[in-house]
Amino acid sequence: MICNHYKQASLEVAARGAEPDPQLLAHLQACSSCRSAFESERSLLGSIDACLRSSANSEIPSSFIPTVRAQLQQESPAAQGERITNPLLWLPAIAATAIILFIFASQDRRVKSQPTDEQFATKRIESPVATATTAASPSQVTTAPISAVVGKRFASKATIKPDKKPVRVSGSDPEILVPPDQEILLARYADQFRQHHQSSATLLTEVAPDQTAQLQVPLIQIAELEVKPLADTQRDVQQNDLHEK
Amino acid sequence: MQELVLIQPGRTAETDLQRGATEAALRREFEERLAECGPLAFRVARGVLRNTADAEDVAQDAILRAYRRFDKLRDRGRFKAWLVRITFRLALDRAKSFNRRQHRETLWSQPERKPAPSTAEDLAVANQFRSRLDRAVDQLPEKQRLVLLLSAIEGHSLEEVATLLNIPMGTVKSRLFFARKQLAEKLR
Repeated sequence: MICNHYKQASLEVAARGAEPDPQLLAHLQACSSCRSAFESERSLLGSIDACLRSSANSEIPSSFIPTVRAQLQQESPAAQGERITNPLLWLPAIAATAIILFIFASQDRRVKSQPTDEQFATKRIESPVATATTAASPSQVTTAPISAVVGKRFASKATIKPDKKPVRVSGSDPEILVPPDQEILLARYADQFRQHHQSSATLLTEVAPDQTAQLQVPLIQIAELEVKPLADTQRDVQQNDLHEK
Repeated sequence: MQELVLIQPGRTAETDLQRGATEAALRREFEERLAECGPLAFRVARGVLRNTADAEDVAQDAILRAYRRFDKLRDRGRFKAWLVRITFRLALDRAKSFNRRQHRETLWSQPERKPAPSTAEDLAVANQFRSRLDRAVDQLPEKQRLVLLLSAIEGHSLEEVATLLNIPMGTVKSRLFFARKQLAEKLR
């Protein structure tokens, strides 16, 4: 019982790596069994420490630090900056972006060059010729509505989704559905048609009665002339002179 | 009318210069610390993995990670402990993945046990002891294992280990005691 207590204490002392206290030291000197257990435990722990030290303090490969430095060089912000400023990396990206922007810009320009139905409608309202034509005879107006329904966006919507009522024109305007590949040509044709007919419409327009009231010019008042022979006139003049004298 | 934008090219260049100088100083400081702490990182990894090539890979990885975040480290005096902790975690992860892979391969192939070399009995005993020790160390809790490893590396004293791990000296002693006790029980 006493030996077991000291044996446990000696193992703990050995594990701690400390020197045994005087009481334990006295027992170890007296008890050979406990002394041998303590010695074997110290020997085992010594072996463990030696093995751990030899494993942990192995020689460092000579290439370790240079390799790490080389990797740090690659990782440095300066190297990253060089990669960023390398034209081989960003030139293709810029070229691709430029091509995409050019394509979008050309498409946008093409769409803007074709007046939409709203622009045509505005033109029709603002144009005095068209106003006069509408006021005079609505049945003669045919060019503007044709242009309105062949606008690119509305035409495509009307073709694909007819249920959404894409064309915002008056109920009396005719609607024309055209294939997408013909809408541009038809729009140009309608535009030219409208421009050509503007001059003829001006001539054909009937002017409203209130705008064309007849001018009331007063008649010239001319007194009646008395026609007399010239000889009689001279004799009368002479008689008058004598009377005066 | 042409639109004009106010720019300050001189200020931009000055900022770039300051940033470049800061980065250069940071890198110089890191390389100075690398010469001191690089071997320690390698040895920590080697102590966990027991393989020089793997330890080199893991230590390099840990150093690069530390470099990427070096500017965010507030207390530069804690760099050594920081690097040790990063290396230890990475080495443990590598060891775990290696063990899993080895376990799978063992299940598939069932390799035969290699016979111990009969020519040198002492060497065989030493190898056997080492392999038993390695297994016992692997079974230790991580905290005890790190303390045991650091106390074995480069002859660190308990105080140095406490400083490295930023833990009290009594905690280091306690962890080391329990680690050695468990190892002795398993190897006895």
